[in-house]
Amino acid sequence: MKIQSRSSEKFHSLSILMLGISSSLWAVSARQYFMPLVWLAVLCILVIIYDPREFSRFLKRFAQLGSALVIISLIQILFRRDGEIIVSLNGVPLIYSEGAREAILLWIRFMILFVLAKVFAQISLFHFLLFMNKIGLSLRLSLLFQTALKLIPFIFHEAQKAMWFLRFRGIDLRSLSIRDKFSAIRKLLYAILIRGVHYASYSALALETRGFGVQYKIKIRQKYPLASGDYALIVFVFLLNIYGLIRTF
Amino acid sequence: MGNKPTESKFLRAIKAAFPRGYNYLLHQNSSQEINDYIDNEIYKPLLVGHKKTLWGEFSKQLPRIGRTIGWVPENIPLIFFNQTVLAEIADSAAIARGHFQSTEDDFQIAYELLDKFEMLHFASRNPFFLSEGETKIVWLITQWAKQPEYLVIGNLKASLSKRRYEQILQYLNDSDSISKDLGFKGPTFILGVQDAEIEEYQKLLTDRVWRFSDATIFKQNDQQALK
Repeated sequence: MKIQSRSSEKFHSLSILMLGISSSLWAVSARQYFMPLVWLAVLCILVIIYDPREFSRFLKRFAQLGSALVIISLIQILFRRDGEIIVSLNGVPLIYSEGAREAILLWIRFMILFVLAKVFAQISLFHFLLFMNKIGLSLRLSLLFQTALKLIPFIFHEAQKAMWFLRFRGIDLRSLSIRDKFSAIRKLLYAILIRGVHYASYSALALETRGFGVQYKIKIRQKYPLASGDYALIVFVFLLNIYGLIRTF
Repeated sequence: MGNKPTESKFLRAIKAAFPRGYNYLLHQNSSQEINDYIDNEIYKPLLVGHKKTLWGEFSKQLPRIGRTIGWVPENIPLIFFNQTVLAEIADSAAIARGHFQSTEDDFQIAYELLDKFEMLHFASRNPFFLSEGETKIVWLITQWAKQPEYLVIGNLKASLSKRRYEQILQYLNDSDSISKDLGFKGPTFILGVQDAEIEEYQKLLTDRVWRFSDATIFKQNDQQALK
């Protein structure tokens, strides 16, 4: 694992974690738009601070998920039957205020989760391991987290490769019928699954050849201090939480 | 590369340099020259480029390229879509016949191809769990089964035992009759050879269908000229 200096990262894992816990809690529990929107704005600003170009790329990727979210939102809008009637057709109530609110909140929640994943991705694997080591988590649990995190880009890369090979075989996915498309996806998932099994086996082998499991806990001697920016972020997160609580109750 | 005109040039250049009706022994300065070129031209752009994304314009060109060119790379990436070698080859044969789902006929073709390559005992094996050499042969058969116009093999020797290598060489020599037996048109083979290997391939050149080529289209220096 490449050891990176602290200066290569803008924020400490602890401050990012506090931000993540607070924003996701507000996203899940809030019944009004205001606080989730504030947290979403804070997270977006953080992504822009990390890399402004990356933010536009991130928005494009999120747009690709748009159709799936629209379907989920429509289900909320059509089947949630609480609150006031907002839209009706020939006296038949179509959209209720609660349904519309839940649909909008759902979008904000997904946005927050998506931006949060992006913010977490800025932490290097080593610094995350270092952070878990400093808070006293066992090596086994730390590596479990690491492996799970590393699996996401791995799966994405393997999916890309599998798509390439499917297309290079001469298959134009756009021209397939729905039944064949379903079959193609099943084939892709099979390839990714087996590659995942390979990845897990090789990772386990690599860990064991490095003596994994000999010691329950290890102490990494490298320092991982909080910087002034981290203190500012933690204070900001704390104050925003207080403000949110006062505003809500 | 990655946009539409470049792709057309890529295929056009291959077709111009290697007229159909012959097979070619293509001179390369290193064992990786052809593979590196194709790797850079059609494989890596989809994996590393930002503009040339998985869903971009380039990816739309790939099925056409895949139907025109078969390729046996040096290191076969372990990507297969079926649980058995037989089904994997049958899928490729189905594509050649314009289907996505393989039928009984495709399985019959796959069976015969495996038989020709003396690989029948691999028919029910999982393609993900083969040795490097076995994977290479299975990959070569899948590429043959999809019946491309050109089948490019950059480095035939790599990963194969001497016996298998000579066996495959013999199949390449008899490729026309094998293809005819199976009802295929048969691809034009482009086989990369280095100076030191030319002696070994002399046997192929005694057949008038095989020609020696010094075309430079797979050379890195010519990449810019193609663009």
